[in-house]
Amino acid sequence: MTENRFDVTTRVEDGRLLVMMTGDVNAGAASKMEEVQNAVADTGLRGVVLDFGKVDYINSTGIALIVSLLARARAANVEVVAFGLTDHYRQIFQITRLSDFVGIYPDKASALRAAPV
Amino acid sequence: MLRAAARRFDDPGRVLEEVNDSLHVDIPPNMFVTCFYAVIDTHTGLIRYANAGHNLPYVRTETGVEELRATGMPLGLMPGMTYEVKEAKVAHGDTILIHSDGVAEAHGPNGEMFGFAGLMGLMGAHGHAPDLVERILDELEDFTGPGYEQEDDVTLVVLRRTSTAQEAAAAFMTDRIITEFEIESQEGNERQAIDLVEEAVASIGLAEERIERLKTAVGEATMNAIEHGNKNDPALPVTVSVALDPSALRIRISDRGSGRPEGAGVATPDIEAKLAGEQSPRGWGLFLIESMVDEASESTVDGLHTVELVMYLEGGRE
Repeated sequence: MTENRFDVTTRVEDGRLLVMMTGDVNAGAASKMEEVQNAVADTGLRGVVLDFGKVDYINSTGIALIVSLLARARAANVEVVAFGLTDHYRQIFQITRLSDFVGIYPDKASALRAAPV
Repeated sequence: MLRAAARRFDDPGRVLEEVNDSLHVDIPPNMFVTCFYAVIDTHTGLIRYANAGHNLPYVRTETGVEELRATGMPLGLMPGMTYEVKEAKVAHGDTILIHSDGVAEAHGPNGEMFGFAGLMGLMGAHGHAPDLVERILDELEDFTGPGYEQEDDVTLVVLRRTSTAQEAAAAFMTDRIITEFEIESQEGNERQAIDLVEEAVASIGLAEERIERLKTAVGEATMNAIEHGNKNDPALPVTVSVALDPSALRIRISDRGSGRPEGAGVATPDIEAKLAGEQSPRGWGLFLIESMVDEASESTVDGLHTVELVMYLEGGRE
Protein backbone atom coordinates (compact mmCIF):
# COMPACT_ATOMS: atom_id res chain seq x y z
CA MET A 1 0.00 0.00 0.00
CA THR A 2 1.12 3.48 -0.72
CA GLU A 3 0.81 6.15 1.88
CA ASN A 4 -2.41 8.06 1.61
CA ARG A 5 -1.33 11.65 1.59
CA PHE A 6 -4.70 13.24 1.05
CA ASP A 7 -7.27 14.64 3.41
CA VAL A 8 -10.23 16.89 2.98
CA THR A 9 -12.58 18.76 5.31
CA THR A 10 -15.65 20.75 4.41
CA ARG A 11 -17.58 23.46 6.22
CA VAL A 12 -20.06 26.15 5.36
CA GLU A 13 -18.60 29.63 5.43
CA ASP A 14 -20.47 32.81 4.45
CA GLY A 15 -23.17 30.68 2.86
CA ARG A 16 -20.72 28.79 0.59
CA LEU A 17 -19.38 25.27 0.93
CA LEU A 18 -15.66 25.54 1.65
CA VAL A 19 -13.65 22.43 0.66
CA MET A 20 -10.19 22.36 2.23
CA MET A 21 -7.83 19.79 0.73
CA THR A 22 -4.46 18.70 2.09
CA GLY A 23 -1.78 16.58 0.39
CA ASP A 24 -1.84 14.81 -2.96
CA VAL A 25 -4.82 14.84 -5.29
CA ASN A 26 -4.27 11.50 -7.00
CA ALA A 27 -5.76 7.99 -6.99
CA GLY A 28 -5.39 7.92 -3.21
CA ALA A 29 -7.82 10.84 -2.98
CA ALA A 30 -10.60 9.10 -4.92
CA SER A 31 -12.87 7.92 -2.09
CA LYS A 32 -12.63 11.16 -0.15
CA MET A 33 -13.23 13.21 -3.28
CA GLU A 34 -16.31 11.12 -3.96
CA GLU A 35 -17.66 12.13 -0.55
CA VAL A 36 -16.99 15.74 -1.51
CA GLN A 37 -18.90 15.22 -4.77
CA ASN A 38 -21.88 13.96 -2.81
CA ALA A 39 -21.64 16.86 -0.39
CA VAL A 40 -21.49 19.35 -3.28
CA ALA A 41 -24.55 17.81 -4.92
CA ASP A 42 -26.54 17.49 -1.70
CA THR A 43 -25.59 20.64 0.15
CA GLY A 44 -28.34 22.85 -1.20
CA LEU A 45 -25.81 25.71 -1.39
CA ARG A 46 -25.15 27.39 -4.72
CA GLY A 47 -21.47 28.14 -4.33
CA VAL A 48 -18.48 25.89 -3.61
CA VAL A 49 -14.98 27.17 -2.84
CA LEU A 50 -12.06 24.76 -3.32
CA ASP A 51 -9.02 25.49 -1.16
CA PHE A 52 -5.84 24.12 -2.80
CA GLY A 53 -3.53 25.99 -0.40
CA LYS A 54 -2.22 22.79 1.17
CA VAL A 55 -2.14 20.64 -1.97
CA ASP A 56 1.38 19.68 -3.07
CA TYR A 57 0.62 17.48 -6.03
CA ILE A 58 -2.15 16.98 -8.56
CA ASN A 59 -1.74 14.33 -11.23
CA SER A 60 -3.89 13.31 -14.20
CA THR A 61 -6.02 11.08 -11.95
CA GLY A 62 -6.50 14.06 -9.65
CA ILE A 63 -7.57 16.19 -12.59
CA ALA A 64 -10.12 13.50 -13.47
CA LEU A 65 -11.42 13.68 -9.88
CA ILE A 66 -11.77 17.44 -10.16
CA VAL A 67 -13.55 17.05 -13.52
CA SER A 68 -15.96 14.57 -11.88
CA LEU A 69 -16.57 17.02 -9.06
CA LEU A 70 -17.30 19.80 -11.56
CA ALA A 71 -19.62 17.56 -13.54
CA ARG A 72 -21.61 16.76 -10.40
CA ALA A 73 -21.69 20.44 -9.41
CA ARG A 74 -22.84 21.42 -12.86
CA ALA A 75 -25.65 18.88 -12.83
CA ALA A 76 -26.77 20.26 -9.45
CA ASN A 77 -26.49 23.85 -10.71
CA VAL A 78 -23.70 24.65 -8.25
CA GLU A 79 -20.88 27.05 -9.16
CA VAL A 80 -17.31 26.18 -8.19
CA VAL A 81 -14.40 28.55 -7.61
CA ALA A 82 -10.89 27.86 -6.35
CA PHE A 83 -7.95 29.52 -4.64
CA GLY A 84 -4.52 28.56 -3.32
CA LEU A 85 -3.21 27.01 -6.55
CA THR A 86 0.50 27.37 -7.21
CA ASP A 87 1.55 29.06 -10.45
CA HIS A 88 2.29 25.64 -11.92
CA TYR A 89 -1.11 24.15 -11.19
CA ARG A 90 -2.81 27.36 -12.23
CA GLN A 91 -1.09 26.85 -15.57
CA ILE A 92 -2.26 23.24 -15.69
CA PHE A 93 -5.80 24.40 -15.02
CA GLN A 94 -5.41 26.69 -18.04
CA ILE A 95 -3.87 24.07 -20.33
CA THR A 96 -6.57 21.55 -19.46
CA ARG A 97 -9.23 24.31 -19.74
CA LEU A 98 -10.45 23.51 -16.23
CA SER A 99 -10.07 27.23 -15.61
CA ASP A 100 -12.86 27.90 -18.13
CA PHE A 101 -15.20 26.21 -15.67
CA VAL A 102 -13.67 27.06 -12.29
CA GLY A 103 -13.00 30.66 -11.38
CA ILE A 104 -9.46 30.88 -9.95
CA TYR A 105 -8.76 33.47 -7.28
CA PRO A 106 -5.61 34.50 -5.46
CA ASP A 107 -7.01 34.13 -1.94
CA LYS A 108 -9.87 32.86 0.16
CA ALA A 109 -11.59 36.23 0.60
CA SER A 110 -11.83 36.94 -3.13
CA ALA A 111 -12.89 33.34 -3.88
CA LEU A 112 -15.66 33.50 -1.26
CA ARG A 113 -16.88 36.81 -2.65
CA ALA A 114 -16.96 35.38 -6.19
CA ALA A 115 -18.97 32.26 -5.33
CA PRO A 116 -22.75 32.74 -5.40
CA VAL A 117 -24.85 32.35 -2.29
CA MET B 1 23.20 -0.67 -58.88
CA LEU B 2 23.54 -2.07 -55.38
CA ARG B 3 20.07 -0.97 -54.44
CA ALA B 4 18.57 -2.47 -57.57
CA ALA B 5 20.37 -5.79 -57.02
CA ALA B 6 19.52 -5.79 -53.31
CA ARG B 7 15.85 -5.61 -54.18
CA ARG B 8 16.11 -8.68 -56.36
CA PHE B 9 18.35 -10.96 -54.30
CA ASP B 10 18.59 -11.83 -50.63
CA ASP B 11 21.91 -13.59 -50.97
CA PRO B 12 24.85 -11.19 -50.46
CA GLY B 13 27.04 -13.14 -52.92
CA ARG B 14 24.37 -13.02 -55.58
CA VAL B 15 24.01 -9.26 -55.11
CA LEU B 16 27.73 -8.69 -55.63
CA GLU B 17 27.80 -10.99 -58.68
CA GLU B 18 25.02 -9.00 -60.26
CA VAL B 19 26.63 -5.64 -59.56
CA ASN B 20 30.02 -6.89 -60.74
CA ASP B 21 28.61 -7.98 -64.10
CA SER B 22 26.67 -4.75 -64.61
CA LEU B 23 29.61 -2.61 -63.62
CA HIS B 24 32.13 -4.49 -65.74
CA VAL B 25 30.32 -3.36 -68.89
CA ASP B 26 30.69 0.34 -68.19
CA ILE B 27 33.71 0.79 -65.98
CA PRO B 28 36.89 2.29 -67.55
CA PRO B 29 39.85 -0.13 -67.90
CA ASN B 30 41.87 -0.80 -64.74
CA MET B 31 39.20 0.76 -62.57
CA PHE B 32 37.34 -1.18 -59.92
CA VAL B 33 35.24 -0.76 -56.79
CA THR B 34 35.63 -2.56 -53.50
CA CYS B 35 32.53 -3.40 -51.52
CA PHE B 36 31.62 -5.12 -48.30
CA TYR B 37 27.97 -6.20 -48.37
CA ALA B 38 26.11 -7.61 -45.37
CA VAL B 39 22.57 -8.49 -44.39
CA ILE B 40 21.96 -8.27 -40.67
CA ASP B 41 19.05 -9.73 -38.74
CA THR B 42 18.74 -7.30 -35.86
CA HIS B 43 16.63 -9.72 -33.81
CA THR B 44 18.99 -12.70 -33.91
CA GLY B 45 22.28 -10.89 -34.55
CA LEU B 46 22.97 -13.12 -37.55
CA ILE B 47 25.08 -11.38 -40.18
CA ARG B 48 25.46 -12.85 -43.71
CA TYR B 49 28.10 -11.14 -45.74
CA ALA B 50 30.18 -11.17 -48.89
CA ASN B 51 33.22 -9.13 -49.76
CA ALA B 52 34.40 -7.74 -53.08
CA GLY B 53 38.00 -6.95 -52.20
CA HIS B 54 37.25 -4.53 -49.41
CA ASN B 55 39.27 -4.21 -46.19
CA LEU B 56 38.13 -6.84 -43.72
CA PRO B 57 35.72 -5.42 -41.16
CA TYR B 58 36.52 -6.07 -37.51
CA VAL B 59 34.23 -7.33 -34.78
CA ARG B 60 35.02 -6.51 -31.19
CA THR B 61 33.50 -9.33 -29.15
CA GLU B 62 33.56 -9.87 -25.44
CA THR B 63 36.85 -11.73 -25.74
CA GLY B 64 38.76 -10.09 -28.55
CA VAL B 65 38.81 -8.83 -32.12
CA GLU B 66 37.82 -10.95 -35.11
CA GLU B 67 37.82 -10.30 -38.85
CA LEU B 68 34.78 -10.80 -41.06
CA ARG B 69 36.63 -12.73 -43.74
CA ALA B 70 35.13 -13.71 -47.10
CA THR B 71 36.88 -13.86 -50.46
CA GLY B 72 35.92 -12.11 -53.69
CA MET B 73 37.38 -9.90 -56.41
CA PRO B 74 36.71 -6.16 -56.53
CA LEU B 75 33.67 -5.17 -58.57
CA GLY B 76 34.08 -4.33 -62.26
CA LEU B 77 37.43 -6.00 -62.91
CA MET B 78 36.29 -9.24 -64.51
CA PRO B 79 32.87 -10.62 -65.44
CA GLY B 80 31.41 -13.83 -64.07
CA MET B 81 33.03 -13.66 -60.64
CA THR B 82 31.52 -15.50 -57.68
CA TYR B 83 31.60 -14.26 -54.10
CA GLU B 84 31.94 -16.38 -51.03
CA VAL B 85 29.14 -15.89 -48.51
CA LYS B 86 29.90 -16.26 -44.82
CA GLU B 87 27.84 -16.01 -41.67
CA ALA B 88 28.64 -14.78 -38.19
CA LYS B 89 26.67 -14.24 -35.05
CA VAL B 90 26.92 -10.82 -33.48
CA ALA B 91 26.26 -10.98 -29.75
CA HIS B 92 24.74 -8.29 -27.58
CA GLY B 93 27.45 -5.77 -26.84
CA ASP B 94 29.55 -6.62 -29.93
CA THR B 95 30.75 -3.84 -32.20
CA ILE B 96 31.50 -4.06 -35.93
CA LEU B 97 33.88 -1.61 -37.58
CA ILE B 98 33.83 -1.17 -41.36
CA HIS B 99 36.66 1.02 -42.63
CA SER B 100 38.02 2.39 -45.88
CA ASP B 101 41.63 2.38 -47.19
CA GLY B 102 42.52 5.85 -46.04
CA VAL B 103 42.66 4.74 -42.40
CA ALA B 104 44.96 1.71 -42.33
CA GLU B 105 47.01 2.94 -45.29
CA ALA B 106 47.70 6.41 -43.94
CA HIS B 107 51.42 7.15 -43.64
CA GLY B 108 53.33 8.66 -40.76
CA PRO B 109 56.04 11.35 -41.15
CA ASN B 110 58.71 8.65 -41.74
CA GLY B 111 56.72 6.74 -44.35
CA GLU B 112 55.51 3.98 -42.06
CA MET B 113 51.88 2.85 -42.37
CA PHE B 114 49.20 3.16 -39.69
CA GLY B 115 48.44 -0.46 -40.59
CA PHE B 116 45.71 -3.01 -40.18
CA ALA B 117 47.34 -4.34 -37.04
CA GLY B 118 47.24 -0.84 -35.58
CA LEU B 119 43.57 -0.49 -36.35
CA MET B 120 42.82 -3.93 -34.95
CA GLY B 121 44.71 -2.99 -31.82
CA LEU B 122 42.52 0.09 -31.41
CA MET B 123 39.44 -2.10 -31.78
CA GLY B 124 40.80 -4.25 -28.99
CA ALA B 125 41.45 -1.29 -26.76
CA HIS B 126 38.44 0.92 -27.50
CA GLY B 127 35.98 -1.31 -29.38
CA HIS B 128 33.28 -0.87 -26.76
CA ALA B 129 33.70 2.90 -26.38
CA PRO B 130 30.70 5.04 -27.28
CA ASP B 131 33.04 7.44 -29.07
CA LEU B 132 35.02 4.79 -30.99
CA VAL B 133 35.11 6.79 -34.24
CA GLU B 134 36.49 9.87 -32.50
CA ARG B 135 39.14 7.79 -30.77
CA ILE B 136 40.31 6.21 -34.01
CA LEU B 137 40.43 9.59 -35.75
CA ASP B 138 42.38 11.05 -32.83
CA GLU B 139 44.92 8.21 -32.98
CA LEU B 140 45.18 8.60 -36.74
CA GLU B 141 45.85 12.31 -36.38
CA ASP B 142 48.51 11.68 -33.76
CA PHE B 143 50.12 9.09 -36.03
CA THR B 144 50.20 11.16 -39.22
CA GLY B 145 51.33 14.28 -37.40
CA PRO B 146 50.69 17.94 -38.24
CA GLY B 147 50.31 19.09 -41.84
CA TYR B 148 49.34 15.63 -43.08
CA GLU B 149 47.68 15.61 -46.47
CA GLN B 150 45.04 12.91 -46.58
CA GLU B 151 45.96 10.23 -49.16
CA ASP B 152 42.73 8.34 -49.51
CA ASP B 153 39.11 8.21 -48.40
CA VAL B 154 38.73 7.96 -44.61
CA THR B 155 35.36 6.42 -43.77
CA LEU B 156 34.46 4.58 -40.59
CA VAL B 157 31.14 2.86 -39.95
CA VAL B 158 30.42 1.47 -36.50
CA LEU B 159 27.57 -0.96 -35.84
CA ARG B 160 26.78 -2.00 -32.34
CA ARG B 161 24.25 -4.55 -31.15
CA THR B 162 22.50 -3.70 -27.90
CA SER B 163 19.87 -5.55 -25.91
CA THR B 164 17.80 -2.63 -24.68
CA ALA B 165 16.64 0.75 -25.87
CA GLN B 166 18.56 2.41 -23.09
CA GLU B 167 21.72 0.62 -24.11
CA ALA B 168 21.09 1.62 -27.70
CA ALA B 169 20.71 5.22 -26.64
CA ALA B 170 23.83 4.97 -24.52
CA ALA B 171 25.88 3.00 -27.06
CA PHE B 172 26.86 6.07 -29.03
CA MET B 173 25.90 8.65 -26.52
CA THR B 174 27.32 12.07 -26.57
CA ASP B 175 25.26 12.93 -23.53
CA ARG B 176 26.13 12.25 -19.94
CA ILE B 177 23.92 10.16 -17.67
CA ILE B 178 23.46 12.11 -14.45
CA THR B 179 21.47 9.46 -12.68
CA GLU B 180 19.76 6.17 -13.35
CA PHE B 181 17.40 4.30 -11.07
CA GLU B 182 14.64 1.70 -10.93
CA ILE B 183 11.33 1.91 -9.15
CA GLU B 184 8.87 -0.80 -8.29
CA SER B 185 5.69 -0.94 -10.37
CA GLN B 186 3.20 -0.01 -7.70
CA GLU B 187 0.55 2.68 -7.67
CA GLY B 188 1.82 5.94 -6.25
CA ASN B 189 5.50 5.20 -6.83
CA GLU B 190 5.70 7.89 -9.49
CA ARG B 191 6.36 10.23 -6.58
CA GLN B 192 9.73 8.52 -6.08
CA ALA B 193 10.60 9.15 -9.73
CA ILE B 194 9.56 12.78 -9.43
CA ASP B 195 11.63 13.32 -6.28
CA LEU B 196 14.74 11.62 -7.68
CA VAL B 197 14.58 13.51 -10.98
CA GLU B 198 14.07 16.77 -9.13
CA GLU B 199 17.12 16.05 -7.00
CA ALA B 200 19.18 15.12 -10.07
CA VAL B 201 18.38 18.27 -12.02
CA ALA B 202 18.59 20.66 -9.07
CA SER B 203 22.00 22.03 -10.04
CA ILE B 204 21.65 22.45 -13.79
CA GLY B 205 19.89 25.80 -13.71
CA LEU B 206 16.48 25.09 -15.21
CA ALA B 207 13.92 27.75 -14.31
CA GLU B 208 11.71 26.73 -11.41
CA GLU B 209 8.56 26.71 -13.52
CA ARG B 210 10.22 24.43 -16.07
CA ILE B 211 11.32 22.06 -13.31
CA GLU B 212 7.69 21.89 -12.16
CA ARG B 213 6.60 21.08 -15.71
CA LEU B 214 9.24 18.39 -15.99
CA LYS B 215 8.13 16.89 -12.66
CA THR B 216 4.55 16.68 -13.86
CA ALA B 217 5.62 15.00 -17.13
CA VAL B 218 7.91 12.57 -15.30
CA GLY B 219 5.08 11.70 -12.91
CA GLU B 220 2.61 11.06 -15.72
CA ALA B 221 5.05 9.04 -17.84
CA THR B 222 6.05 6.97 -14.81
CA MET B 223 2.40 6.37 -13.89
CA ASN B 224 1.76 5.12 -17.42
CA ALA B 225 4.82 2.88 -17.24
CA ILE B 226 3.68 1.40 -13.92
CA GLU B 227 0.02 0.99 -14.82
CA HIS B 228 -0.13 0.39 -18.57
CA GLY B 229 3.41 -0.80 -19.35
CA ASN B 230 4.14 -3.07 -16.39
CA LYS B 231 0.49 -3.66 -15.40
CA ASN B 232 1.28 -2.85 -11.74
CA ASP B 233 3.51 -5.93 -11.51
CA PRO B 234 6.04 -5.17 -8.74
CA ALA B 235 8.42 -7.73 -10.27
CA LEU B 236 8.82 -5.50 -13.32
CA PRO B 237 10.79 -2.34 -12.60
CA VAL B 238 10.37 1.01 -14.28
CA THR B 239 13.80 2.35 -15.16
CA VAL B 240 14.49 6.06 -15.28
CA SER B 241 17.62 7.70 -16.63
CA VAL B 242 18.44 11.38 -16.57
CA ALA B 243 20.95 12.53 -19.19
CA LEU B 244 22.38 15.90 -19.99
CA ASP B 245 23.79 16.93 -23.34
CA PRO B 246 25.05 20.36 -24.33
CA SER B 247 21.60 21.64 -25.25
CA ALA B 248 19.02 19.58 -23.41
CA LEU B 249 18.03 17.45 -20.50
CA ARG B 250 16.73 14.02 -21.52
CA ILE B 251 14.70 11.84 -19.21
CA ARG B 252 14.10 8.27 -20.40
CA ILE B 253 11.44 6.20 -18.69
CA SER B 254 11.21 2.54 -19.65
CA ASP B 255 8.78 -0.27 -18.97
CA ARG B 256 8.27 -3.81 -20.24
CA GLY B 257 5.11 -3.05 -22.18
CA SER B 258 4.63 -2.81 -25.90
CA GLY B 259 3.73 0.89 -25.90
CA ARG B 260 0.99 2.42 -27.91
CA PRO B 261 0.39 1.54 -31.55
CA GLU B 262 2.85 3.27 -33.83
CA GLY B 263 1.62 6.60 -35.11
CA ALA B 264 -1.08 6.89 -32.45
CA GLY B 265 -1.49 10.59 -31.80
CA VAL B 266 -2.39 12.37 -28.61
CA ALA B 267 -5.92 13.75 -28.65
CA THR B 268 -6.73 16.93 -26.76
CA PRO B 269 -9.26 15.89 -24.12
CA ASP B 270 -12.71 17.36 -24.67
CA ILE B 271 -13.57 18.92 -21.33
CA GLU B 272 -17.10 19.88 -22.37
CA ALA B 273 -17.88 16.24 -23.19
CA LYS B 274 -16.33 15.15 -19.92
CA LEU B 275 -18.32 17.65 -17.87
CA ALA B 276 -21.51 16.61 -19.65
CA GLY B 277 -20.80 12.99 -18.69
CA GLU B 278 -20.43 11.96 -22.34
CA GLN B 279 -16.79 10.98 -21.91
CA SER B 280 -14.77 9.47 -19.08
CA PRO B 281 -13.37 12.19 -16.81
CA ARG B 282 -9.98 10.49 -17.22
CA GLY B 283 -7.51 10.49 -20.10
CA TRP B 284 -5.31 13.50 -19.26
CA GLY B 285 -1.92 11.83 -18.88
CA LEU B 286 -0.49 11.88 -22.40
CA PHE B 287 -1.95 15.30 -23.09
CA LEU B 288 -0.26 16.63 -19.96
CA ILE B 289 3.08 15.06 -20.89
CA GLU B 290 3.01 16.62 -24.35
CA SER B 291 2.00 19.98 -22.93
CA MET B 292 4.70 20.07 -20.28
CA VAL B 293 7.97 19.29 -22.10
CA ASP B 294 9.72 20.58 -25.23
CA GLU B 295 9.76 17.16 -26.88
CA ALA B 296 8.22 13.81 -26.00
CA SER B 297 8.71 10.63 -28.00
CA GLU B 298 8.40 6.90 -27.48
CA SER B 299 10.10 3.84 -28.86
CA THR B 300 10.04 0.10 -28.31
CA VAL B 301 13.21 -1.95 -28.77
CA ASP B 302 13.60 -5.59 -27.77
CA GLY B 303 10.59 -5.57 -25.47
CA LEU B 304 11.56 -2.37 -23.71
CA HIS B 305 9.21 0.56 -24.20
CA THR B 306 10.80 3.94 -23.55
CA VAL B 307 9.35 7.42 -23.33
CA GLU B 308 11.88 10.20 -23.74
CA LEU B 309 11.11 13.62 -22.32
CA VAL B 310 13.29 16.50 -23.47
CA MET B 311 13.69 19.90 -21.85
CA TYR B 312 15.87 22.41 -23.71
CA LEU B 313 18.38 24.18 -21.52
CA GLU B 314 17.74 27.44 -23.34
CA GLY B 315 14.60 28.57 -25.10
CA GLY B 316 11.91 25.95 -25.06
CA ARG B 317 8.27 26.48 -24.41
CA GLU B 318 7.13 29.12 -21.95
